[in-house]
Order: sequence, then structure tokens, then C-alpha cells
Amino acid sequence: MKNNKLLPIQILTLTSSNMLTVNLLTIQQGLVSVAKQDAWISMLLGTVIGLVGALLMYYLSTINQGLDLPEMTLHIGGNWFGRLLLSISVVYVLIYSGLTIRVFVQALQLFLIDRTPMLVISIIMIIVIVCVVSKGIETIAGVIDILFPFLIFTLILLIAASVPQYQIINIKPVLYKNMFNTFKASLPASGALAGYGSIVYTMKYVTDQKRALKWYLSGFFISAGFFILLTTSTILVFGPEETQRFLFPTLYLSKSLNLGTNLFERLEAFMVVLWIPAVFASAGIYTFSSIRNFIVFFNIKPKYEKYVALVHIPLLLFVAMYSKNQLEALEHMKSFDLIVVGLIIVYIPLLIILSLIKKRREVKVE
Amino acid sequence: MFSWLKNIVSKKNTKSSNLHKLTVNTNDICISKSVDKNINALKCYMNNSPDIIDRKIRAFDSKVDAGIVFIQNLVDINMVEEYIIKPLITNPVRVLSTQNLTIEAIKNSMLYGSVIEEANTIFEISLEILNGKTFLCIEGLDTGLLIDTVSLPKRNVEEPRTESTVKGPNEGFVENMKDNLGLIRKRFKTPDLCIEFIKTGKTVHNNVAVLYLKGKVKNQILQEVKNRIDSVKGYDIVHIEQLANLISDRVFTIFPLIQWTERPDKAVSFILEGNVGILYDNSRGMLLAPTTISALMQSPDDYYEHWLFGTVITFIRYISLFISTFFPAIYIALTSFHPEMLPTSLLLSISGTRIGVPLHPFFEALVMIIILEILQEAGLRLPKVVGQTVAIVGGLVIGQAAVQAGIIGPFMVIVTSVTAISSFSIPSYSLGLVTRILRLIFMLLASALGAFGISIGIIYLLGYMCSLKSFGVGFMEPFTPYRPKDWKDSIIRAPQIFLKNRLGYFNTKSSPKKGGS
Repeated sequence: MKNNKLLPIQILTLTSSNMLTVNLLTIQQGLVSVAKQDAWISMLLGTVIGLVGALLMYYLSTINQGLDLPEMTLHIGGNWFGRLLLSISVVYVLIYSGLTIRVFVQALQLFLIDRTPMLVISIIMIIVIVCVVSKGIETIAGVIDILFPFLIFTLILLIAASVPQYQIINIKPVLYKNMFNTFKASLPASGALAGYGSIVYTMKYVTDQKRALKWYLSGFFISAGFFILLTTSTILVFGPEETQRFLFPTLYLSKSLNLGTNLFERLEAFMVVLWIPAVFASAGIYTFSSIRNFIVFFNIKPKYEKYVALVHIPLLLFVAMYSKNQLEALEHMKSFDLIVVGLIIVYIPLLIILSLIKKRREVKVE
Repeated sequence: MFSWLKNIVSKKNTKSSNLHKLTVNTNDICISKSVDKNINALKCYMNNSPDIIDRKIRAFDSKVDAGIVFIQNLVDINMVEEYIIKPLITNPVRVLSTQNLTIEAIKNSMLYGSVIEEANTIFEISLEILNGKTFLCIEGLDTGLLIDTVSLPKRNVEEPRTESTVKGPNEGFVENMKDNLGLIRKRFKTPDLCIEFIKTGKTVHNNVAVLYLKGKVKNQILQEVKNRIDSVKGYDIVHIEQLANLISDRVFTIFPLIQWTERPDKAVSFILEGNVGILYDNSRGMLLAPTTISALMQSPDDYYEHWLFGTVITFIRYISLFISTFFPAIYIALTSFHPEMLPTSLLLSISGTRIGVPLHPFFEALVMIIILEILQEAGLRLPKVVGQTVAIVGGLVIGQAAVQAGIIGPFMVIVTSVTAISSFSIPSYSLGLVTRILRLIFMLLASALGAFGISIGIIYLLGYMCSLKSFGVGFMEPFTPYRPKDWKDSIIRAPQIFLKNRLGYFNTKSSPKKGGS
């Protein structure tokens, strides 16, 4: 990995893109199955929980300036305990990255290229992702900077175009005998937003870290806003029962749209095409994080770092192809969204506490 | 003869005995006090080429022998006669003997030449003679004079061929460095414009001129440019494009990482922003470093029109870049993989016209693109009048005949024509060539994987472009990293009053930009 630098503003696109992952295509189904018509409130609550997690992550990176998550884990926990802690991150990030690719490949097969084998699509996607990621964080950030406006434009268009089909009745009654389920669904909702965690991998490269917070929070709120709006739009258009039956509610939402012209007869196919860069952004950052985890965990010398990127091709492919079918892959994804909530609640505060103890000790020694 | 030269060296060595020991290196051979020997040595060193003219004269009231050597086709004969021979012969000199005749006296009070330099090694003298100077040696003096009498064959300043504008000036760089420097100097009435010369080549010995504006240029960029030119000094470079390839950040990239321009006004604008300009002997055009994709997509016309037109035209140009690269690929993907993405009426229309077409859309597109490339190449080589005929025959007659014969569908003709027209609206010729290569790659991807292939290709391409650097500046600046302040002079063209600050990546301590671009 090259010693690249990022401008503070790039934290916005990196954070936001990493949050707008395949979860945005699937999250409504999981939330609606628990919270029914109040899933949008769950998403809102999930955003609040996510904000706490995001601030914790930011705080962790500011008290360990110049280090990314794997480095700070070893720095805080030492060689053995640190590695033990880091192994959790190593496994989680790798599997999540592979799952992101798998779920999106399913969407591609379903809506765009149904005859091309899943293995071929996965291999091509993984190779391209690894090729770009191996050029360094500056390159990843560059690609995301360019693609981000198109992604945002697409989402705004999708939400705006769905407004005429809203049926207010679909979200009524609000919170009627559904309080517990709404709160319950807020956990996977906050897990779906966990892409903000990329800050602990990217902050190290930011030139002016003090100015990064506003961009980080802007990125968080942009993505969280889209999650809330899309969840609300899907429920408003389809209603909770119908939404529950869709594997990719966002894509079905685009399928249902009538733009008053026959120019886009299959808008969902266009959406999938436009979503490829978005998934690249997310999978790219996860892959980058995973490569960083491996490099630090195995203490790999800089001249061998490029091989770590290459090793990720079979690893990601294995993870992507591990699930037997679509439903299993989606279930795995949901499980990992819950695991990440646990990690944010336990892992990050633990690291913060250990960092503060270590710093206090260092001050005392001085 | 060479042994005789060695003798001269050894004699001189013994005279100035312990001062320095000369190795047997032709570069160090000094001239003697004898005019005959100097002339012979020079002619011998330059392989007795017939265009080397020497003339012996009895100078200073026929008291002293003098000799001049020059190359017939590189000097202005009138200047040689008027500024050198005539003063030497006719000047009423107060020279009583050769003892009080000094080189300074001749240089300062007897010759009319504006640029006169002293020289005393055969190598140095021969090099300057080859540059068009006239060598003068005086009997009894072991230092010669080089008088600037250069008159190289050249063409007049003409209209730029590849970067024409509607309202801009019609002066373009020519192959003469002096003229090119003049074209820049006349637009830059400031002592801050610095010009540095660097000699390159083992055989051709051409000059590279590095131009920059003191206080505006970023030191790292300037130093990087100089270092790279220094590193290729050993290459015999014939044309500035070869120099561009040698000093470029990446050897194998197809993207132009140094901008070439033949417009002095454009060069001045870029130097004002902090770019470094590079001129090369006998080459048309100037290199500008660093460059970015937004700089390559700018045209001087953007600044000679109302800012709104400039903005719209810039936007149209980016669309053209997209069409030029992706349109055939999108057509292939839609017709071969995703016909359902097209509106039914359009799909039926395309399908109807493709009935009987034997080729797969990819090969159909490939045939058309190859024909287009052949036409473009032919258009470049042929005289203008014939070129137009070829364009008509190629574009209209062959296209029409191919459609009627059922080899190509009419939609493909439309796709190819739109692609070709779009590619011509890209201001940078080098970037236009890049789109021609990328077009083929994306056609292949589209024929293999459809829209997915195009998307994946775009991601890889963007990744590659974002990793490119031009003298430390990102090729994709200011698109990434986001520098909104720079967008007003790249993505859009804001009114001139808003273009006060230089582009972010050029920022030095002293900042404000006086002019536009």
C-alpha cells in the first residue's frame, strides 16, 4: 500500500459510500418483517444508535492519531492480546466484504445478466476490486469521489419518482402496539449503517484530521437519510406485507416506477447497472480494510504487501461462493449486521478504555 | 590528423605544464595560435563536410592574419560580411603589432555582432558553428570568437493546425525556438518570466528551454521537471514529443501526462497558472507540465466567449468524451445482452433494420470503427482537397452501400457517425487517440459481459486514471479530491472576476492569479 494522503472532504464520500452498500437494496425486507409498517421508525432509531457508534469510532481514531484499527489494536493490546482482538476484526471484515459481493452478484443475476454464471461474475468483480484497491486508498477515494455524485443523483431520482405512488395508509397505524418490535428492529437497522466504521481505517491518511469530523458526520447523515427515505418510500409504495416478500425491495421499487415515458422500460436493470459502482465503493473499502488487517496481523513487510492483495482474490471468492443460495447469503448478511452492532457496543468501547488507560500510564511514566 | 591534434594538446600541455593534465578527450582539445592549424583542425573534426566554409583574411590594415569558419546554410552571409569581414578589413585599427592585440579589444571595439562569445576548445567551437555561429580566430591568439550570425531555415508563424479557435489569435508555435520564445515573451511583459536552457543529446546537441513564472510556479514541480530533463540528457531526441514520452511519469500509459500545445496564448495562460513550459529545438509546440484531464478538456475558445457559453461548451465536450468512448459499447451491450432495457418501439425498429445483417453487433461495430480509423488516417495523409473527397466517398458512399448491401445495419452507421463526430470535439488530440483505444476495449467488454462489463471496465478505468500522476499532481484533479474552488475553472467556466485564485494544486505561498485561463 502506498503512503497516500486524503483531504478531509474525502472522508464524506468514503464514509457515505461505505454505508450505501448492498444493505440499501435489502434492509427494508428485514426491518419490515420485524417492525411492519413502523420499520421507518426503526431505521430512524437505528440512525441514532449508529450516530453514537460513529462518534465512538471517530473518538477512537482521534485518540490514536496516525494509526488505523489494526495498528491501534496491537498498540493498545500488545502482541498477544492485541492480536486476539484483531483476529475478530480480521474475520469480520473479510467475511463482510465477501458477503457484500455475493449479495450484489445475486442482484446482478436476478436483474441484469441471468445467463452468466455466478462464479464468473464474482471472479470478475473481485479481480477488479482487488486491482483498484491495491493501488492504494487515494485511488479508492478518487474513484469514489467521481462515482458518488452519480449514486446520490440516482437515489434522489428514485425517491422523487416514487413519491406519486405513495399511499399514506401503508404506514398507518404508527407505533400501534408495535413499540417493542420497532425498537427490536432498530438494532439490525443500526447494523446496516455500520459502514461508518471505515473511519478507523481511513482517518490515518487524512491530512487535516480536525476538519474531518464535519465531513464524517455529513457523510453519515447523507447515507442515513437515504436509508430512512428509501425504507419509508418502500413501505409507502408497497405496504409492509408486500415489502416483506421482496429480496431486493429497492430494486423492486424502481421496477414499479412509471416515469410517464416508455424510455426506461426496465428501470430496475438501469438501477442495477448504476449500483455496480456503489457496491464497488463499499466492497473496495472493506477489502482495503481487510488487506490492512492482514498486513498488520501477520506483520507483513511492505515489499510483500501487494501479495496480500492478491491473496484476497481466492479468499473473497471463497466467502462469496460459500452460501448455498440467495436466502442463505441474505441470512448471513443479516447475522453479520447484528454481529457488528455487538462489536460496536463491546469492541470499540473496550479499545477506547484500553487506549485511555495506556495513555494515562504513559503520562504517569513521563 | 588525429595524432597531430594530440600533438597540439601535448604541446599545450607542456606549456601550461602543471596546471592540469589533459586526458586524450576530443572535448578538451584547445585551439592553437595558428589560424591555418585551427581551420584545419576544425574542418577535420567536422569531417571536412563541404558546407563548412572557411575564409582567411588579412585583417587590421593587412597586419594580422585572421580566419573565419561557418556553415553555409546556417548563417546569414550578409551578417558575416557586414559584421565580421568588413570591420576586420576596413577598421582603422590602432594595432601596431600583434603583441598588443587582445581578444577583448577585437570583441569590444572592432566587431559589430550583437552576441560575441569567447571559446577555445575545438568541441565547443564546432558545436556553436553547428548552431549557426561564425568562428573567428586571429593569428597569435589562442582564444577564438564566436559571433552570432544564425539564420536557420524556418517557416513563418502560421495558424495552429490542431487547435484552431473561432475568436482567438491565429499565431501558432513554429519549429524555431527563438521565434517560439518571442511569441511567449511578447505576451509576457514581466521580468518574472524565467527561461532556462538545458542541452540534451549525445549527437544532436539540442536545447531544451524551460519556462516558468517566478513566484507562481510550485518549486517541487519545477525541480521535478528539471530533474527529469537532466535524466534524459543522454538521449538523442529529435522531436519534443519524444522528450514528452521520456520525461512522462509513466512509460506505458496511453494517457497524455504532459500537455502539448501549439498555441502561445494557451501556453501563456497555463504558465500564468503555475505550469512549467518546455520548448525544444526544431519542434513545433510547447509541453506544459503538469497536466490534468480537466486541462486537456479545456479549449481557448472557452475564454474568448461569454462564460455561460464556455460552461455549456465544456459540458458538451465531456458528453462528447463519454459518447466517443462508450457509445458503440453501449449499443453492443443493449442489442446483444439487454434488448429488454430499450423501449419496445425502439427495440422493434433496431431489430427490423438488423434483419439480414449477418454480423454480430460487435463485429458490425468493429468493421465500422476500423473503416472510420482508416478514413481518419487517410484524411491526415492526403492533401486537403483530396481529403474532402475521401471523406465524402468514405462516409457517405461506402456507408450507404454497406447498409444497402445488408452488411451493416443503419443504426450502426448512426452510432459510428455520432462517435466519430464526438471524438473530434475533444480539444486534445492525444486524448482523442486515447478514446479510440478505449472504445475498442469497451466494445470487447460489452460483447463479452454486456452492461456489467462496461460498468466493471469504467471502475477499473477510473481506478487507473485516479492512480495517474503528472509531476506529482493527480491526473484527475480537481474532480478528485474534491476542490470545489477549482471547479469554477475546470468543470464550469465561471466569469472572469471569479477566476482570481490559482488552482488548488498549484498553490504556492504567493498566490493571486492576474489573468484568466
